Amino acid sequence: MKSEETIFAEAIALPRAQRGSFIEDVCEADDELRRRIEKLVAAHDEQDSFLDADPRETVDAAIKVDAGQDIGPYRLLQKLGEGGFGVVFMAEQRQPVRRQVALKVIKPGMDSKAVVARFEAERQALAMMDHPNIARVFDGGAIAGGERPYFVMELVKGVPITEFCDANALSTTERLELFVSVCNAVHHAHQKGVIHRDIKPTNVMVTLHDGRPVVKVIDFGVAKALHQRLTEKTLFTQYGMMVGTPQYMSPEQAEISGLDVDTRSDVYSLAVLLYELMTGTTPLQAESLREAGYRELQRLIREEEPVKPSKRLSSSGQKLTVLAKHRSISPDRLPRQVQGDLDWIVMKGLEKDRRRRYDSASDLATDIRRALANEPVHAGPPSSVYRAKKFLVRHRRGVTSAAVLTILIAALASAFWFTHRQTLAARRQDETRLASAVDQANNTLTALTAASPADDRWTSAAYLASQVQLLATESNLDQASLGEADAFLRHYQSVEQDRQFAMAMENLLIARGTQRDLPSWMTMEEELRRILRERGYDVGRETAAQVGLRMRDDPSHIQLADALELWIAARQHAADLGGPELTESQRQSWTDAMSIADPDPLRVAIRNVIYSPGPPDESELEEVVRQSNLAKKCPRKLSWLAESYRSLGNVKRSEEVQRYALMQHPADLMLNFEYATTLMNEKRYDHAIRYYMRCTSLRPNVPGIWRNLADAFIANGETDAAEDARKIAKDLEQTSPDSNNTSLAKS
Amino acid sequence: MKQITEILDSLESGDAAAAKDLLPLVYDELRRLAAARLHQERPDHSLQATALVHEAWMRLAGDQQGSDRQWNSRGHFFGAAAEAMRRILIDHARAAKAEKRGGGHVRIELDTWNHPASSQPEKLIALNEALEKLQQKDPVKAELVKLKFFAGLTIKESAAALNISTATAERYWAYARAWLQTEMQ
Repeated sequence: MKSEETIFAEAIALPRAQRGSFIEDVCEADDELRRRIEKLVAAHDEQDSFLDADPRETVDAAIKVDAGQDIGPYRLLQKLGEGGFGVVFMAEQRQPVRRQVALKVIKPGMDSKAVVARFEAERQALAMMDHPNIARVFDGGAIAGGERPYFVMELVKGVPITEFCDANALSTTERLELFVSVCNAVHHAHQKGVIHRDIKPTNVMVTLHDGRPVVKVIDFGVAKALHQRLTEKTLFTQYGMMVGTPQYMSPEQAEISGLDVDTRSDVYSLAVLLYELMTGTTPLQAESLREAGYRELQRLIREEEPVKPSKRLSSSGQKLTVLAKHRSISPDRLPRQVQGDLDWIVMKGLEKDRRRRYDSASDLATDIRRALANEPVHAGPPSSVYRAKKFLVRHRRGVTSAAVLTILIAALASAFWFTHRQTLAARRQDETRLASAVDQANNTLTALTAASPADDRWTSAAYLASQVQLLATESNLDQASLGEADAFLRHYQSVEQDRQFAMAMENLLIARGTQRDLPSWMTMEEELRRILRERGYDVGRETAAQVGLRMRDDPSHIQLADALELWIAARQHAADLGGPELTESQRQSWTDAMSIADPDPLRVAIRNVIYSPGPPDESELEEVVRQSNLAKKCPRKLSWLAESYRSLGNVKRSEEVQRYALMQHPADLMLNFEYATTLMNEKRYDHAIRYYMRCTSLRPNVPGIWRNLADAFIANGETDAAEDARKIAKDLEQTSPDSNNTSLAKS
Repeated sequence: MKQITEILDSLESGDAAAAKDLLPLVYDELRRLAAARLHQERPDHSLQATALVHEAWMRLAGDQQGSDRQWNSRGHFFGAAAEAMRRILIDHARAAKAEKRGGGHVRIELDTWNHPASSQPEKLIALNEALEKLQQKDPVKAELVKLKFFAGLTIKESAAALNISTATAERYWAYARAWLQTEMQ
């Protein structure tokens, strides 16, 4: 007879299905032994055993994070809560603005460098979210000296939506109304390219604002930054804590690869939340998930068809009384209230195959609104009986079955009447539509003031402008409306021209930072001539004074002076490298032209430092800086200022300016790029990588940035990453073969 | 430190009785090191049991790098360190339990060692009891559990310390883990 240990070892080596019969065969009539083995095997299969605690995993648990402590510019005030992921504090930010924020310190055991890098990559998208129902994410980083990532976000004092609804005994209708605003918030984020990935009641808080409940969705960007490949281990060690909570996790998130996640995953999680708001339970119940092993858990999420909400309610026995009480309705009516539309809506959101779910959170919201208005919903069987039933409910008052015929006739008649009226109404309708399109487009443009030229909201601005164009040309409008459309389109054109210009400037500035030889300076000089010519300034034909005077009256005079500045610098560089000569008097007259175009004393002082033939004078610059309000200066001028200090040999001050500028304009490509370059020069490769990565997320298509990133990776000893970055740069260069120089402008 | 080296040398030359002297020394050394680290380091610096054990070993073996004997000594040392860690954690767990019952305020200076299991004192004590039974039945497996669970050694490191193959250590671990688990239920 084999020993217990041997039988155990052989049994666990077998596939699960074969173990039972194997154990029975081996143990023959020895029931005692069979029971022992079965127990051992069951214990073996148990995944989160106490014995699996790994002393090396909670390495940094000892890092004390406590009230009173400072993390970067934040002072921790008081602990708000503690969860599986870490600790949340109320904190005070002191710079650049004084405000209270929530600071979330993630528990140890994660690769905080990777977390921070992923956060940095999404920072831009997060910054673009601007919605009253989304808690803003301000910052993220790692605690100095430790391996603990943290996130800083808007302070939300509220309770989870499920708790709020129960505590206030909100009716089903009120719950649905609240839920619609959750959908709208999530949809807004989706339009900005941000997927939440971890929607659950504790991430959907409700606060009272002037006595009215207001939803705040929190933790956008956190789940993605923390995201790691779902493995047996992560799922269990972090069960219910971090990367997805099984009850709310979509089938595609439960896949081992777990990488192919899109907005429809959030739609799924929203549907789970809706299910919970309706029935008080999640479709897959927490208890059954906790008992399931890893494979079983995956199978449940991927395959188990959920019970319809109304059915879950009617089979909830005694609990139904409590559920109904929380919803201010009698127990016998609650299931009926949910039956039908709401069942269908929830089930459509919970489809295992995401193609059969709602395409977007806003589609889900729209269907709920239809249900609330007793209009036909998209989910569910769209049979004619169903539609007729809806119609009857909607017009319940005064409708008897005998009256149905009358209604049908009336409907036919009204159709004729409507067609007639339509022509009359069409004009007014077109005018209203145009007015609202212009309105929306103007709002978007206003929001884009001072935004990066690569900001993705420009796409929506372009779309809206094309809508206005379409309405103006193809519809029936009066003169006033046409005039309004025309004025808007002209405004848009000039804004778009500015954007193109800014984009071209950015590209040239990047090129300036990455190229050093004569031909590239020559190309750059050419390109600058071209973009100035496009703006109506021909530096080849007009005199410097003429150009300067005309620029002074241009609304974009600061940007134009920047271009002029860069053009002179390029000419100077080319001349220094043996290119066409730039005489002293030429240089002088063009720098004078700049002073005319932008008479800001700061620019003059900067220019004196950079171009002064004699030894530069720092005190003069310092004096002007003291008198200027740097907060009001454009990013470019701050760059020049940093460069001036550098050329004066005051590296410390130069860096101060760079950091200040970044604080003022965190999404400015050039500021990030220049700072990264400074960090490279100081051999702070790790930091340089962060900022280059931020640049790649601001403008993913510029090969020069990827090349610099690759160099930084090499310097930091990360050859694999460098190889990847280089490959991206190469691919980008291939798609636009001459992107090294002129066509940078098109990237 | 000197004394530890001497004892390890005695063990090397076959004096098994020297082992009983090793434990208190290693125990003290770990506590000393921990206390020193706590005072020196910035408050946010991590203090981790496994790192501590490894650091103590490096300090000890630093001057005899590459010597063949090092590997045997290493096994002895880690065995003693794991045992020391076990005692510290169990003391901690008992104190925590006592505190819960209202048995006075007991401050444990080594709180910050922070073994992930230290938050569950009941389970830790149950495990300890089961482990004592396993020690009677199968000392090598019990030793393996101590190395892996308390000192945080990997299977591979534990195998080296116990002078068995990695495959054997893996098999032993699977069995010991299941066995202890059923015993703890």
